[in-house]
Amino acid sequence: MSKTITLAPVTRIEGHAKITIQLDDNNDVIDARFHVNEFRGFEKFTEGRLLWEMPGITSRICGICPASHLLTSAKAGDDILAVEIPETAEKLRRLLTLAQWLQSHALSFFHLSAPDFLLGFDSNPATRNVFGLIAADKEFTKRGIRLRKYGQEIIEILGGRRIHTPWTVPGGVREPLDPTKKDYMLGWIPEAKETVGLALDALKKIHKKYAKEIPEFGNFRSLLVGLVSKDGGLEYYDGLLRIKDGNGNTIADKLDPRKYFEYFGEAVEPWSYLKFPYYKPLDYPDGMYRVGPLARVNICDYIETPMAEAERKVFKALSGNVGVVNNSFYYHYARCIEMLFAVEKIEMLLKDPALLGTNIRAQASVNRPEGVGCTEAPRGVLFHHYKVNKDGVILKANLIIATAQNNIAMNRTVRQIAAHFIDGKKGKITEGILNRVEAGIRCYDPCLSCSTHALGQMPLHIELVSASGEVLDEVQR
Amino acid sequence: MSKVLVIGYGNTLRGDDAAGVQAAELIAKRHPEIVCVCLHQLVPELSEQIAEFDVVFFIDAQKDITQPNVRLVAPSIEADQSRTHFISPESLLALSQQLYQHVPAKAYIVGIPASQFEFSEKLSVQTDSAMHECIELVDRMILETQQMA
Repeated sequence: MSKTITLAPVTRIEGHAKITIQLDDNNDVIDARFHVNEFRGFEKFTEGRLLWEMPGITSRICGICPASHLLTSAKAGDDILAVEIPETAEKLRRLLTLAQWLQSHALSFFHLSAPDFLLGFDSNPATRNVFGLIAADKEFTKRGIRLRKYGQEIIEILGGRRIHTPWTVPGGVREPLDPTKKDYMLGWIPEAKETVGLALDALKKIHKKYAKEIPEFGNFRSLLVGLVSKDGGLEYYDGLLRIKDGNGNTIADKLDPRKYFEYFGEAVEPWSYLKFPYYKPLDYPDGMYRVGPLARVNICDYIETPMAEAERKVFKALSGNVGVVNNSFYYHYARCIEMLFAVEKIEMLLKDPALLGTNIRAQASVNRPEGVGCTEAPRGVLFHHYKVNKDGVILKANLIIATAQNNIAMNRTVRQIAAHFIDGKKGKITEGILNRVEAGIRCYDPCLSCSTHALGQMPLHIELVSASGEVLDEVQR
Repeated sequence: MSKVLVIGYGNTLRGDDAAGVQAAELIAKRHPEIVCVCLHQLVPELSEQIAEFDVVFFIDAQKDITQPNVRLVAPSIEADQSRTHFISPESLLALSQQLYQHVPAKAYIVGIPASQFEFSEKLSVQTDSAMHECIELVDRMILETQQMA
């Protein structure tokens, strides 16, 4: 008779995420599943809309990473118009991408994950949150929130408003950068660098503190997928796809992201609305891959900014002889390295005179019946694929979201953590163990609003279920 | 004059969930002297902005009410849901209090009854009507606040 543990949410919306932990007759964990019970119907909704509306519409999928959808949608539009956008437009779009990375990564690290790290996985759950963090280190918390604010302010300056700005369009951007805002944005740089430095210092202490636990946090070999620049550098806006295996071997390189459907398939499982993308040559589920900070920092040959490059070398040393860092816990480290890169690169872009150019949009009509846009969203590579008629009306849209691409790996992570920490014979999970399971998911910083196009609020619900289907324990956040 | 902040939030692609955002946009047109912020969801850095105001209104679509609803809300870490990408008004106020040592003297949650959350850019007739009732309510409260000050 097997048993199951489930984690599920209390939420004002219909959809939610749930973790089910299945025990066998010996009360050992035999499986764990991360379910997403919200239907993804956004693509159908956009049929019949104009191509030029798509950036503004798709950016409204998510309140956390709207700029990523805005940019990727605009790039799909560029492809359909068959235009090369002006230099200034590309640099402004790059600035927007980096601001998006910064605000999203800052939220993930400082607000969502730091309470686990600095207060402890087993600390009182009533205070293991941002308020406990304030009590422990008010300045650290405030700095984290301000770092996110900096990213948001850049987005607001560029787009004219904080979220859902339709500033990026097929062919370029709508408005040039107001030169009077440049110095204001540059003025933040010293504080931002210092804040990321604080995060890195804190994280390195955490690596020592949890040295025994970290090997159980999603430590397995998988493919790693992301964009790199033409010469192999860390890329965030454009570039070509590179795929490495869990031994550090490059198994595919310089792939055209516009042909993503040749490389990746999407499996479905009856217990989740979230699809399970996989690398087609290895089939499902062996074609499991990870995207996002861990993949990006692993697969690139270098990072173009000095401080981030120095940290990348320290990161790579964690891989030992394997060649890539396979442990999902180090998503956090890679995320901090990317924050550092984002700050350094934002500074470089803001000092580039070309950023203030006024030639910002290439005009064209529909020249191709379909197009693909691809960028690196904070959580990983994001694809928008549109088919249009001659007037630019959307006939079909497909969005491959970063969180979904990590789906198989998130499930594997939950299973590994559950198997290591849960003693099924007790028929109960302690709060500390529950939190570790959730922390495993948080490594990936999943954005369920994006992956399911839900309303925004998606807490978690965990269930422990026996072999006969009896719910032995249940915890809701 | 009291400084008033209106925050309307919700997903503008999910039918009635847009009611809070639409209400805030309409209030901004009536009251150019106050600050209105429209958001997909509440985010922690709002705490710094909230700390600068005397009165704040959080306007949101709610599916568990049948009538427009205005209630006072206080800072509370009990209501903390900051373990996800969502944060509650109570938590935001508590963040303002703890990080910036100031919270508005009065904070209200304005609930607009909502029932349809499918992909759509239109409010249902009922929610549209309730939204206008809420706007009138908030309008009166803003005027009272300003007269008292």
